[in-house]
Amino acid sequence: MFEFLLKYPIEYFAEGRLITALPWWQLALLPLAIAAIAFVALGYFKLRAQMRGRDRMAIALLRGLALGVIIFSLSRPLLEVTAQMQQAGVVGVLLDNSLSMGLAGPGQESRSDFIREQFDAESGELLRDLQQDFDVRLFKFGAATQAIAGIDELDFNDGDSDLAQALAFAQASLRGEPLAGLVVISDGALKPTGPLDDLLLSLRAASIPVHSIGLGESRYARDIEITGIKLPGAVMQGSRVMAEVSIKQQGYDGTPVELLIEDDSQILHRQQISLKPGIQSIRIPLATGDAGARRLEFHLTTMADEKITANNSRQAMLTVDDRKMRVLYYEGEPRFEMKFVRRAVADDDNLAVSGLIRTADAKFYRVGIESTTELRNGFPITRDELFSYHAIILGSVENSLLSREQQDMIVEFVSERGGGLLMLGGRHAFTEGGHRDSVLHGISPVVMPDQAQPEFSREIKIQPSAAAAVHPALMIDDSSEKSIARWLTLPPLTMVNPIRRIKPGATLLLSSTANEHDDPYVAMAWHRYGRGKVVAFAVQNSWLWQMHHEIDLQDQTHELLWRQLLRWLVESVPQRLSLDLSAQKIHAGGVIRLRSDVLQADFNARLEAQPRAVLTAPDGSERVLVLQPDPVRPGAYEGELRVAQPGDYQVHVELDEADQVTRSAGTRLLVTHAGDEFFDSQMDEKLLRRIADQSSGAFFRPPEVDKLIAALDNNPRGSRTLLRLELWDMPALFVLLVTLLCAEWSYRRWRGLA
Amino acid sequence: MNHAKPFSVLLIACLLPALAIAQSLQQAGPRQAASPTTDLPGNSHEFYFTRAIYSGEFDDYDEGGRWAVDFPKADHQFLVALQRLSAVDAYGSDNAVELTDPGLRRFPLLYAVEVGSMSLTPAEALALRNYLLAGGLLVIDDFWGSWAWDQFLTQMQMVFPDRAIVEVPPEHPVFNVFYNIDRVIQVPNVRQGWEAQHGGPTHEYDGIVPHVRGIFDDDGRLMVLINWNTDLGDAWEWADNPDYPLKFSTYAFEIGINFVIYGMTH
Repeated sequence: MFEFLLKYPIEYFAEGRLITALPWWQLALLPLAIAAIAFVALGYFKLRAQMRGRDRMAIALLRGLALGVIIFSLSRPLLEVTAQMQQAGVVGVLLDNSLSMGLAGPGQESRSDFIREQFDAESGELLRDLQQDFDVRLFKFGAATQAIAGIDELDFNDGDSDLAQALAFAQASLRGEPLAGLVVISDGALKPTGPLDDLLLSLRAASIPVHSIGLGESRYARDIEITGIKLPGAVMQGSRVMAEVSIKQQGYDGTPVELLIEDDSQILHRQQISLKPGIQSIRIPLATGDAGARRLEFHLTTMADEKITANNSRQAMLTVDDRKMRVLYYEGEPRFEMKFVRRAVADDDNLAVSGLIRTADAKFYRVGIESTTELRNGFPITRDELFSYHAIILGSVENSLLSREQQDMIVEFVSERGGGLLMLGGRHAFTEGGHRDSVLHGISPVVMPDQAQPEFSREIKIQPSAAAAVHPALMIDDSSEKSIARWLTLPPLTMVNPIRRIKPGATLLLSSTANEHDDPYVAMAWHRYGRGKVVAFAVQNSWLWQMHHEIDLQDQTHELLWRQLLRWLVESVPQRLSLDLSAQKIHAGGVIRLRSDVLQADFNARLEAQPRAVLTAPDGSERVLVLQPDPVRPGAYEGELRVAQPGDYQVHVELDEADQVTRSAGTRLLVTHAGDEFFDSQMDEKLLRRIADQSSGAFFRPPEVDKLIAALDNNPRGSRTLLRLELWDMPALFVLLVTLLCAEWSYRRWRGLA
Repeated sequence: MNHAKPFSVLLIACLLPALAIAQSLQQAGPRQAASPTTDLPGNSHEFYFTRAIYSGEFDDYDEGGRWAVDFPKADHQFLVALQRLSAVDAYGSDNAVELTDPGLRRFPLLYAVEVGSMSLTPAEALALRNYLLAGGLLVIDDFWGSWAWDQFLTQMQMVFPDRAIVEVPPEHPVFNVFYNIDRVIQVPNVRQGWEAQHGGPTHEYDGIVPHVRGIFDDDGRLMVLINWNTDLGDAWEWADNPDYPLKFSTYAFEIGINFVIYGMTH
């Protein structure tokens, strides 16, 4: 009877709470309701003469109650209750299908064995337990994620595992289901390329916890691994390049191993290393080989009792550029520095130094020019002419020798064109040349003193900084140690620009040796400015390192320094058509993102171009992808390619310009079956715990999986649901309204007022 | 971008009073005792006009040796012209250095005269060879005739036994790096300069035709510039003498400055 009148079970009213679904705008009708009640009351007040007070009170009360019932119904009352679901909750189980799951310790089961045992359709204990309470949906994830019916579909042979993509896929697949939670079973050797944190927060907000079960050892007892290799993306042919090799090891402290570096199977370098505890980083100067995209392979000795030997080798790509780079050397007065700089790089086929020297007032001499028109009007006055160079050397040039427009162009040359600027010391350089308050001070890596000291002249011995020891331009011997030793034996030079400070963010490379009376002066510092580099080399006669009587005739230090310095200055200067890959190595089936910057002849971004990326497979077949404009960065174009087959691919970008096809420098893409799956393959407990914590889930090791069911049961989302029940059409309200109206009519009849 | 020649002649003519003042500061006589200046304050100037002190057959300590002919007045007067006419930051005084002095290589341009009497010791020959191979430039001046040439050749073969001496072609940058030198002319000494105005010869001995010859390195750069059958030093030294013809002084300053600018840029 009660359930008929109230429409819902009486328990709902005991547990639930009453809310209204009345839209905000309808609340504005409340004054109208009050006015209506007032109107009723006023009507009875007017009948005062015909009616006694007791009657007026009774009738007004009955009419008001009836009106209240109507208003209550119109306010769309709801009853909010949580109710037990009739169906079971759903649990999504994500099983790691990557290669690293096949890893096993000596005498131990592999990581994948846990999955095989626990999720076997017939004997899997964990699967059975889960299925007793939940509807279990299985997914496998690796390079891609897909739903599976059973573990027969697992082969543990995928490349890099992308967890963010896997979680997003599972959530999307189970949308609308009463999801009690997701369970990730993995070794944590994951590559969360997507926005994992955002994804976990959204799962938490939707009350979908992610529980993680970590498989494997979180720390190998004995293993050596090359954890990373850093190389510049491109380097000029014949240049020295610094390779930074990071090595991690456990269990082999002090053990000597050999590091072998090969350039396309030709031995480039070999070195004995004594392994240090934890992670160590080694910088190795390498001579670059022939021009083109080179693949360098780094191998460390493998040990018989090592956990994983596949992680003792890594590859890295290096583009060796054989472009002729143009350098403009501007001197405000004849100086031997120009003579010896030109001599130092004269044999370098990749460097062309054009000299412009003021030999007298308003009289200039050009040297090393490529055509009779080059620099005919002195220092370039147009952006096109200046931007045809890749680097500028500013010698002893006073500020007034450059117009404001020319100085602004130099700033743009560095920041926009990406050119290199080398500011040399001299009597007309830096503050002594009036540059202190110019825009050139703004792009300089050093703080020029406020006051010029034209009489300052000091003989200084050079002291290399720690950064110089590993800087490719300043490696003047075969190793960092020898290089530092060589720097310290070089003859003193003369400095006429007393600079003490570098700017924040700049790197100090060389300074004068300090003594007890004097702080050191800055001899060389550099920083990035926009797309380019700016170097301050505040000495005026580095040629003494060629001419000094202590320098042997066969000594190539001066030549080597200048070749390296100018090459380093220009090697990252962008071309008008460039190509960047998101990775140099991916797993088969993975996606590579390509990005190309396209510039006009004046090096402004070129819009509405249609660059094509060309991927050439090892068998010579080509795939062409038209890159699409990046809506955020004008002149940038991008695209993605999925590469299914392993192999060593060549990639370049082409662009139709006028009647010809411009082609970017080529690079290589290495596609392997395993990708980087065997690197950093220890169970990443930290990551798996973070995944659980951020989504209100829990982390378990295999012995603790019996707690997983309880953790899933704790989530009401999977077994109960939240209901909002409409109350406006309850029979009880209709009965009450009719009763009130009948009562009023009966009262009137009884009192003779009808 | 070179000045017209009349303009440079005018400039040099304007220099003459300055040169006269410079001369008054010198000791009298064409040859002065050497005062090598190797202890310089940290190479505070870019350029030091450096005269080579070498061993010679006719060394006379009373007169300072044949290397010191026209020293230091010629050097001083040339420096006055160099400072006035170019942007070179030049040290304003003389700087004579022995070939075996370790400090020699701080000065990448070297001037030597009267090399017909040069008699290098093995140490001097080696030092000069190393200096030139390291990047130095030797400018030779004021030696006349075939006898002096043969003597000089013998000395140079001690320095470079395997390098030829060749004529510097007229289109070589050394002739247009600052002034355009269209023609190599013979610059006489002070006496013959005066006689030349009265129809006398400008040459000495059998050195009738002036030459600018050179020894080049493997990359085609000049290491030695040889001014044979001419006397630039006298033209510098006597540029302030009204009896010395202006055209010779003008030419001597022009080609001398060219040598310096070339030596600082190539």
